[in-house]
Formats: sequence, structure tokens, C-alpha cells
Amino acid sequence: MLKVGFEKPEKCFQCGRCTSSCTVSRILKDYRPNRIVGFVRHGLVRKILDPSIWNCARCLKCVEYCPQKVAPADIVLNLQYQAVSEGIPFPEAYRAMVEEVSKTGLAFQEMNVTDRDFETWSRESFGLPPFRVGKHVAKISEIVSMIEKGDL
Amino acid sequence: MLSIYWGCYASTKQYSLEVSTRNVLKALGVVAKEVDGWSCCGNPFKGINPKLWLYLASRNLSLSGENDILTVCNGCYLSLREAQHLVNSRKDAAEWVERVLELEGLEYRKPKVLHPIEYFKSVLSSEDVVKPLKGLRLGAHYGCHSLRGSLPSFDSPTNPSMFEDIMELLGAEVVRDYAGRLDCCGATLMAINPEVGFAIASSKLKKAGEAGVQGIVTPCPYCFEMLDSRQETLVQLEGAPNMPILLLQQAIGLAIGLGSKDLGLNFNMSPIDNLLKRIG
Repeated sequence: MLKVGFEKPEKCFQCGRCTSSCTVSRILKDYRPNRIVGFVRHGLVRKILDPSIWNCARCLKCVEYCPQKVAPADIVLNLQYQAVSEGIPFPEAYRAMVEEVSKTGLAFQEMNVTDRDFETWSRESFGLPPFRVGKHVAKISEIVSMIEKGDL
Repeated sequence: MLSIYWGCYASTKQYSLEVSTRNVLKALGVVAKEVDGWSCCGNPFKGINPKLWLYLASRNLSLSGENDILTVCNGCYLSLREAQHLVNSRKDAAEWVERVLELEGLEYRKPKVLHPIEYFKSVLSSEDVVKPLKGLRLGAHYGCHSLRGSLPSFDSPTNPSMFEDIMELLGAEVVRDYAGRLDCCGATLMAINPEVGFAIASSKLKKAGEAGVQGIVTPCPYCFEMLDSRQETLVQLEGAPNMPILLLQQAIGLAIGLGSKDLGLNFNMSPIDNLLKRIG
């Protein structure tokens, strides 16, 4: 499997520095990266494939402060992938971004934006050059859809 | 030569980031190569579909050819570097990328990926500063993906100083060590658990305010949206202080004498007017 790939759950000795540095743990007391790593380290992945795995803020403090270079945030990414692969529902926002990227090559739709004085601007009216993904979109769509179907 | 990788935010909605970057580079005499076909960097898909991430990141790397890539978003910066690391360190990843890029007629390349903080630190000099940001007590918000992660970055992830050095060069008084300086903005959670995202962002603004920061500067469009565009909600929901927020390129632009429209300052939703008045 191709993945971000810095994770080393087997090296965790449960010191808890990941959880003490975790941005989300300060607010959601039940979100504890050390516990997630502990479950994965002992092969109990099935026990933690619940919606809490989507609560990671991707701040990477756990990666920074882990003395064993376990990379807890990457372990969470792997759990997210496993959940998606098994058809467990995942946040709608991600699905919308996949759809948009396969249509336009970008994760969001080009918008007209209103400024502080309530004037609305497009890229063009604000003097920015037209967006240049153009002729590449067809090929990108094709490849994204092959990847999504598991053909690549 | 340099090519600027815009990413999704600047391209589709945060026009101030693109316009300020373009005008600052122009004023500094930097000619960048325009590239056809930049797509998303793949960052949002690292978890849900790592192959989709790897494909999107590598195609952008390959489009840059031999030119250095200047990123303007922390997410893109980390995403492109991590993809590069994966391809360079794993044979199966390299082979897969080569095969997929071939379908698009592209060839994998290894450009240098630059962060705006390291880039502007290297090109700015005190002679460029014609309108020093005097009398402003500014704080840096580096944003998580500029420094942290498993790969070494351009500055220390626990005690960086390059961003503060730039702001001092621009003539600002810098609050170098406010509590929460390296805290997250919470943006990633907005699509999943917005209450938590808002709580994280508010905590950041409160800590900065308590340390006497009068304006926060950030290089990242996600962080900017979180702290600037959503600030009114943060104030109402969590009692966060009103805090002027500028993009790094806007702060540089002001100090090198560019005008409000050149920097897209009309798009900032945080209360920047008093701050702008103070620098005249």
C-alpha cells in the first residue's frame, strides 16, 4: 500500500507526549492519540475504527514531540484510509473535494468573492490571469477516476 | 528560475494571496515562469485515498520541470515535500508514480520545493523597505505545516525565528515569544467538527491578544481564512479578541510601498483599518 509512511506504532512505549501536545485533546478529552497508537500497536485496529479518527486537526504536534518518532498523526491517516476502504461512511466534505478535483483538477470551485465593502470580484474582474489548468483537465479526470475505482 | 505553485485556495477564492504574491515578486524584480496545468496538491486526500494524493502531488512536481517551486500554502508545501520523499525513498512508489504520470505524458521531476518564509528571507533586504511597519506590534503565525512533520523544514519546528526576522526587517516591532505562537489554527476541522475548530482558533487569538500582539501575520491561506474571514464568528462564539490579520505577502507589500489594491487588502475581513492608518 502506498501511504505517507512515517508511522512506526511498534516503537510506542505509551509515554503520552502525543496526547499532552495534542491540539484536539485539550478540547475533546476522549481524543487521545496515545490510545489510538496503543490499539494499533497491539493489532486492535477494529476497536478504534470509529468516527473519532476524523477529529485529528493535522497539527502534527504529536509527530514533533514523540520521542520514538512513531508519527501518531500518520497512524490516524492510515486508519482513515482503512475506514474508507471498508466502506465505513466518512465526512461528506472529503467526498465533495474528490468530486471537484475530478471535474476541475482543483479541490474547490472557482468563486466570486465579496470584499469588505460588499463589492464582488471574480478572478478576471480583479485583474488576475485566467486559471490555467485548461487542457489538462480531461486527463486528470480520467486518472482520478481510475484511481478511485482501484484500477491504478 | 522560479515557478509559483498557487494551490486551490489562491486559485479559486483567496485572490488576495495570488495578487499580493504576484505584485510583491514583480516589485522585487523576480520573474517567475507561468505554468499550465497546476492542479490540487493532493493534501486533502492523504488519508482517504493516498494514491490520489500521490498522483496529484507528483504531477505538479513534474510540471515544474527543473524550476524551483515556490508554494504559497503550508498544506501544499508539506504535501509536495512528503510526496517527493516517498517517491525518492521507495521503489514501489517511484514505479507507480512513473506509470501513472506516463498516462498523462508527464515525467517525474525533482524540483526544489520552497516555503514563502525561507524564500522571502533569502531575497528581501533592508533596501527594499521604503515604508517600515513602524509602531506595529506584530506576531507571527507560522502554521503547522510550515515547520512540523517527519521531514526537516527550513527552520526549527520548536523554536523558529526566520519569520520574526523578516517582520523586523520590515520595520515592525515583533512579539517573538507569545504563548500559542506555534499553535494550530483549527482549519482542518471546519468541515468535520467546526465547534472544535472555532475553539482552537479562538484560543490562538486570545493568547496572542494577552501577550500584546496587535496584528498577526501568516503565510498560509487556510490559517488566514480561519483567523481572518471567520473572525467575527470567533469573537461572537468564543469571545476572541478583534485582531487584524495579514498575509505574509501583504505585510511585505506594505513595507515595500505597494498599495492596498495591489495587495488585495479589500478582502481582509478582520479589522485592519486602524493598523493600516498607523503605518500611514
